[in-house]
Amino acid sequence: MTTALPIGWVLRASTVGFTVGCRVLQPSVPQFGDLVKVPVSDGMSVFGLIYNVQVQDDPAVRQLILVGEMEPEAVLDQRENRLVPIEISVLVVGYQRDKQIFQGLPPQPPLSLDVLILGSDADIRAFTKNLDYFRLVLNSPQIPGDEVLVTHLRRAAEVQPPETQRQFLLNAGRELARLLNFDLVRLDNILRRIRPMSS
Amino acid sequence: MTLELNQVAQQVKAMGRSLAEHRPHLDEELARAQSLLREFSTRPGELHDRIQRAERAQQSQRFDWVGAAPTQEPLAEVYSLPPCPEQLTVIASDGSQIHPDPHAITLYYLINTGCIIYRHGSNQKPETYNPKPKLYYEPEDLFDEQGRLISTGEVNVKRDLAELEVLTNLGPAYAQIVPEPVVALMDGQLTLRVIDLPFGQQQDRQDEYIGLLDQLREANVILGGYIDRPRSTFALSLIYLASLDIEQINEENLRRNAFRTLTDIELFNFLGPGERSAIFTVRAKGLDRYTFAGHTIHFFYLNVSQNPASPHLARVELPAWIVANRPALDTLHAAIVRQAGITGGYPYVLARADELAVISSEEREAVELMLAVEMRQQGLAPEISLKQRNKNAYRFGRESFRL
Repeated sequence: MTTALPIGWVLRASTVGFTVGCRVLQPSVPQFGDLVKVPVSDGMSVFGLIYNVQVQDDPAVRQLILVGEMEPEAVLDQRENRLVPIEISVLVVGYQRDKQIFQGLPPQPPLSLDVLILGSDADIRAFTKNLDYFRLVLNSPQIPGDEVLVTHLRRAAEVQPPETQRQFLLNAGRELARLLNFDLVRLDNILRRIRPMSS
Repeated sequence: MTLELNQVAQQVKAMGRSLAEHRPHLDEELARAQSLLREFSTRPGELHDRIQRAERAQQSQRFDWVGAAPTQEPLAEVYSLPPCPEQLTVIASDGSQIHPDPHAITLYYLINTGCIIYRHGSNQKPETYNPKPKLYYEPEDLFDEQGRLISTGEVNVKRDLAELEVLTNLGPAYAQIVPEPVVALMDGQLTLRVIDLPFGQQQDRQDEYIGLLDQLREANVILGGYIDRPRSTFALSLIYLASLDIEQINEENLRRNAFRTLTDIELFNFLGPGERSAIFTVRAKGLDRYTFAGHTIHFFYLNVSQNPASPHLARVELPAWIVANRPALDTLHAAIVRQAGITGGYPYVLARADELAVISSEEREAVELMLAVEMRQQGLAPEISLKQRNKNAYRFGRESFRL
């Protein structure tokens, strides 16, 4: 999917990850495993993978739930009119300076209120030419790295040219096998879920 | 020094004991008041005679008797929840303000209003509307002819007028374009509180306000004022008159109201879920202009709770032209209960209108920051008072050490 519309703004950030706030029902609702980017200064963009989408707590919503008299108009009001924030947590996996993509941590994190946009199909194809970022995802503690990678790879395969989709997944599988050769159970769990459909 | 909570704790214990000790007496007084309510339920003539005598007695002392007068409805009657129209539009507005502060960087005040239009049964998202906030800073906005700074009461009057103006702009417009009844809800009493205004302005502002009420009446908008947890005693003042023989009604006895520690919502604690009390008229001399304009202020008490075990009574004020229109009255009654049902006890639209209007402390700080920047750009020196600076330093700079 291609879009340049902002889906949120950076709330807090570090070199390894950042959190973005956005409202409900943005034109493109961000999804778990999506590749996103944040244009920062000097022609640089930071790439990341969404590993958590969290609907924030809101006392008014909690009160409505407790009462249980859910009128459709009130639900629409809460979802579309009120500023009930969604927080999106992003793991940094690389950055782009000028036209060149680097896989790894950027020299500087994004700043507060930098804009988050969904990576375009072209961005995904460009970023996934190299698979060095797998290690970052698999080694990141406290995130569901395996799930992020499975979802991301399935989506990344879809935007590859049809004739290379199978090869893309095979390459991804080989890289995973290299990284996870010490944990065959974990490797098997990922490979079974990204296995290309037999032609 | 911080508040010595251990010192307060002892007093809190004493307060708890005192509340418990008074309760049996209050219950006795309440039972007596409710008995009188039933006894005089269908004797409005005798009550009107007593009211006239009380008003004369107070006037002789240059006071006004303030209380409730019966209407055609029996005082102790209970009116059950009428069916609510499936399609119904409810509009609510609310206002918020930054009062002028002599200790701030400069003198100004700001009024913000918010409004929501909720169409029950439409499956559409409610419309929200925020008129442009109004910043007042010109000398004629801030000072009167004697150079006195505008009071908080005067700012509040401007805010109340702005709230009603929003309803007057939107209520009639929606009444023309939607097929269903349109209810306009205000937070608080229906009348404009002008007591804080200079005498010369009181009538002008009231006339302006009444002109807006006229527009709502002409557009057939069903208007109500919602007072949550009222401490009012209008009906109890009437019941106290009922407790006296007419000859006993004099200035001295009027000062010894036996029911003064009770409130009307206790008097009507027998209302079940969705039920309303009889309608009463508010008797107070300051409301004459409303009466002359056909907007005589009436009220009823309404249990908006849906749970018999936890009643929640509110006072609903309404003008005479709604009282005279039974379908409109029933719609107002049903609309408020339906709205309160969404949140569990308070009309949803009023809660949302407040949210749309309220100026948070952070927003106020942002306004002050913008003002400070602008003043510096204009070569001015924005400075808060030394008093304020010291308050800020001591209030917000303090750290507490907790065990």
